[in-house]
Amino acid sequence: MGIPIVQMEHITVEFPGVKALDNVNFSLERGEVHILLGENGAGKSTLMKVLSGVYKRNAGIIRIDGHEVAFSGSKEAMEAGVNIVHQELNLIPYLTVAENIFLGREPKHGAVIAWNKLFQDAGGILKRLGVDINPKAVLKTLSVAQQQMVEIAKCVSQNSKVIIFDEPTSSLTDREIDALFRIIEDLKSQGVGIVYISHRFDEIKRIGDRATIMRDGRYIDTVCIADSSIEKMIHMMVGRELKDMFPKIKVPIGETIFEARSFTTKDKLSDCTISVRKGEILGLAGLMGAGRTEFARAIIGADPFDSGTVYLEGQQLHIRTPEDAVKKGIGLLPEDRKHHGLVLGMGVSENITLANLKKTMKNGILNKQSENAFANQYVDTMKIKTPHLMQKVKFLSGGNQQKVVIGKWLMTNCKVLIFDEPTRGIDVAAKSEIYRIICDLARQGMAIILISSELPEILGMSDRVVVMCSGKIVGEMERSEATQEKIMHLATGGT
Amino acid sequence: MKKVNIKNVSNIFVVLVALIVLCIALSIASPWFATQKNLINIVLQAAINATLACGMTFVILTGGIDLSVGSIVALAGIVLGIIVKAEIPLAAALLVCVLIGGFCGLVNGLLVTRLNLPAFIATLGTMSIARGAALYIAGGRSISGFSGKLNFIGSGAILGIPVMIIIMALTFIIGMFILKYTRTGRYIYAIGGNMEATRLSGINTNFYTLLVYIICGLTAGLAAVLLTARLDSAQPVAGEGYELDAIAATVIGGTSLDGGEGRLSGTIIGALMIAVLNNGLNLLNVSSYIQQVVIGIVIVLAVTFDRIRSK
Amino acid sequence: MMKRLWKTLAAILVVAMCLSMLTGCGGGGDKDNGAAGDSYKIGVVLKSLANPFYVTMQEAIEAKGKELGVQIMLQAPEKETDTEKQMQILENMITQQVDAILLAPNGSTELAPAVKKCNDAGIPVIIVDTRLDEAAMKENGATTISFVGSDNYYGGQVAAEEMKKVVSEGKIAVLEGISGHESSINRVNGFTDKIKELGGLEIVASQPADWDQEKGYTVFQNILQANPDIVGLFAANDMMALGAVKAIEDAGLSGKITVIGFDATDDAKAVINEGRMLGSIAQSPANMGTTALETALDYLKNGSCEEDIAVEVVMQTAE
Repeated sequence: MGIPIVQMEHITVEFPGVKALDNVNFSLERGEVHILLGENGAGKSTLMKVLSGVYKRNAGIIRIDGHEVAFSGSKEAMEAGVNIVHQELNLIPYLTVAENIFLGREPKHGAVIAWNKLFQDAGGILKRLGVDINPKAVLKTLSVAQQQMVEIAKCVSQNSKVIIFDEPTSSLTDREIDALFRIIEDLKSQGVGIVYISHRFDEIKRIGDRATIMRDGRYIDTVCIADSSIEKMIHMMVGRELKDMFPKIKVPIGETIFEARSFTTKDKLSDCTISVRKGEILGLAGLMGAGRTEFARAIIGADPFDSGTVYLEGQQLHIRTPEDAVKKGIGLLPEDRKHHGLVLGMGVSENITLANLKKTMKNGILNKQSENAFANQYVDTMKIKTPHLMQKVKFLSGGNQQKVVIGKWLMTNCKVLIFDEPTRGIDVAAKSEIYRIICDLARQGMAIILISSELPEILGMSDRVVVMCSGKIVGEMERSEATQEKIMHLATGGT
Repeated sequence: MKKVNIKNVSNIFVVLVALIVLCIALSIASPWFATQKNLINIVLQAAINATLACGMTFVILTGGIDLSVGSIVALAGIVLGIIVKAEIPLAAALLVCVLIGGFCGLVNGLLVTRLNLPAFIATLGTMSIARGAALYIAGGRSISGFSGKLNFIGSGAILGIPVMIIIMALTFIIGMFILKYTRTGRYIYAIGGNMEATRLSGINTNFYTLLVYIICGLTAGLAAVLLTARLDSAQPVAGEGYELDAIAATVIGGTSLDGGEGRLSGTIIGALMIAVLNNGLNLLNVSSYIQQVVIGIVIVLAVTFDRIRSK
Repeated sequence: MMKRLWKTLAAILVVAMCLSMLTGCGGGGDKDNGAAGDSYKIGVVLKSLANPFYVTMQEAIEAKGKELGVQIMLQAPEKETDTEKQMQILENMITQQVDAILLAPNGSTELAPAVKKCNDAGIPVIIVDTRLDEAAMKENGATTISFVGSDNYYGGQVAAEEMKKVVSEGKIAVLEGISGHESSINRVNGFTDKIKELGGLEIVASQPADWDQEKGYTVFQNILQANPDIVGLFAANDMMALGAVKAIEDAGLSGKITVIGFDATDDAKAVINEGRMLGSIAQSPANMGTTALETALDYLKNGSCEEDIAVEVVMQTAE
């Protein structure tokens, strides 16, 4: 195999008050896909930011092709052939695809940009990646997945030796993921070293050669993926055995209490109807862009819709705004937790009480003690890890943030809760806790709609599964008859 | 003792310390600064700006801005001048003046919430409209001759405390109560922190956004009462640049222009800071050119500190 | 921890305030005795130091003060429309226990309550340049000891005569200062009265441009749109005249319109010498300032002074 393309030894990074990385080792071979595994906050992204020159290390050695390097910025790292495909895209929305790919390296005739060559070269790279994107298109007109492809094209065009993917699939559909994996295989065969950060074990098994597991900023082990079981890797990640990922409890299912009938919008939804029974968890499956989020937002009146009616306990409701929905007992936990679910600059207790502040008031005015008492109740029952109730939620981990959102809705005594991708970006241990909470709510008689792109989650949690495709409901099945293949078949437009 | 981290130190606290240090320095530099009369003068001179800044803080807390307050002061003042002269009972005239301010705020709020205009643009428009209306109604001239009806507000005192200061203080007490003890106050912070999350939590964000502009308009109407009474005349060119002073007081007091963070106690300190600087530099006979430079530096320092802290 | 810190600070603040009040009161008393000496302390409040007219006045007053051994405390707001700021400055001067105040008011009615405050503190006030409104003064029970200002009405008449000499007939326009300002009214009235008397010239537009150069430009540009055949312009101050001159040149009408301004500022004089403007009525801000200062000292020494002093004006043309 020769000298590893990247060798990182004894890397230590300290931030004020925290040791983000503590004596971590990592090596990457030519033509290898190396998975970085660990819970959120384990130090995976920090390690890769050290490699790509964003962070400075306090101790340790980095060698690339056997030569010791000390990057003082990401530009130097790029010049040395180390590129990172960021979780949040670093592209310029108002430039064309080609300009983005060659930003700062545009081919020129003298002082003028050689536009023809620019578009030709960009087209060539996109073709090589097997993606169908017009290099002249303005970036912001592309879907998130396509933008991600552009970002990848940008890395490929720089003759990278090392490409780091930081959770690249979180916004991709299965078809796009297949395309991405094809590209990765291709890069592999050219001898490029790939570092791949992900939480999804199905992907890891599919493309990974080796995996390095990290926990709390420390190096745990490096394993060969073909020889090790998922359970073993999870065990190393969380430091304990996770017996039951989906703690599904059998709950007696009651009457239908909620029905959303014939929802139609101009371009996203056509004639969508679903119903949920008391104590039931309804899984709403489908690919990214199938219209699930749009459906949920239309139900609670967050976005305008052309037609559609909501029935709760047999009564027809007139919902025009989220305010109406909340008053009637219907809540949505949005997919984008940080931008739509929480007021990040506010404290834990203020976020929990936001949707039902009235309940905490005494003598017609706000009362801090009573508010904290209510908040505390949810912090306790859901085991939200926070130093105190005033802690701003932006300083909490993803899992705890999601629990705060759930707490907010529990306080409203909702009858129907819609969870939109409740475990996205949340580490394994916290995921399992969130599943337990959702099951608990169902047991207490709440009707739950669970929107998820992760099939194991849909299969593990749902009593019934409804599948959406291109803005339509395309299928429905009971838990007993649902399989991954069936759902995928429907979700991809098969009949 | 824990190590003091700059991020844990409240901005208000820093401005307060700066204000105290400034006061001490000025008492040493000028024998007149720390006299009882002068200290009352300072608060008096801060009263109009502080009243405006009170409403401005509400707007800025939601992440908005209101550039029209200076013009609203002029418009409401002119209307007050006309109706006081028209022999309408004083209480009614004052109420009308404040309500005119509230109405202008309502217009601002509707432009922002119904037409979805950026607050900066909407209020830039109403700033010009209100100014033009004031000049038109007044025929470009000042209005005076109130036969002393406004003197009690302008120069009267209760138990030795000028009425203007009492009105300002009451405004702040009401404002602080709203922000701290009512749902409205909490929702204002929440909207500034994250409008969409607040809306999805079942809160009528449009209504509360509208409300903050109305509140800001009402305080502008109140400021018009104070200014007209203080000068015993109403001037259509009054209040030019007041919006910037009010924004400065709010920002110096630690309220973030992004919204969601800030307190009225900070705004008072910010307004006092500006008044103390103006007064102190006057007493030290510093050139008026330099006074502008100093105020500018203070604003830049305050915001710089805020940025460093929130990084 | 934060809460405790706050409380401690609040306590310190209160103590500091109380202490400074005590010591401050004492200090003030001392000063009182000191002021009984020979050196008078005169407060001067001008309209704005953004206008060269008042900068000239400032320099003259300060020079004269030095010569006479009088302490001058001079302040001005940023904007010429800012009356409230002038009031603040006056309040601060009262605090400093000046012996007399020279005031060039930004508004004729708005400063009356402030003058009353000076009266209550026993400080004599001399008004410079712009007269205060009599009704407003009476209503507030405020009094001043003297007015020192240019003979604006006469200045307007002089401008009309000069205009008539250059253009005997045709349409002419007038740019006024801020509406209601006494000096603007007098200048414009002097001009229009004299024009009517002389005959042959017709005033087709008379609009306010608020003493402002920028507004002088835009207002006159608009007037030109409506009346392209205008042959003469009288602007009630030089700032507006300079704006109008620029508007004329931008419209390609250089040399076709005779412009007379008022104040004869340095900027205007330069333009006059270049032949782009006929002339300007020279007030003498320096003369006005020093006269006012002398009047104040006269009053302080003798207990009385002349109540209305007109400072002469002359037409200034190219040298």
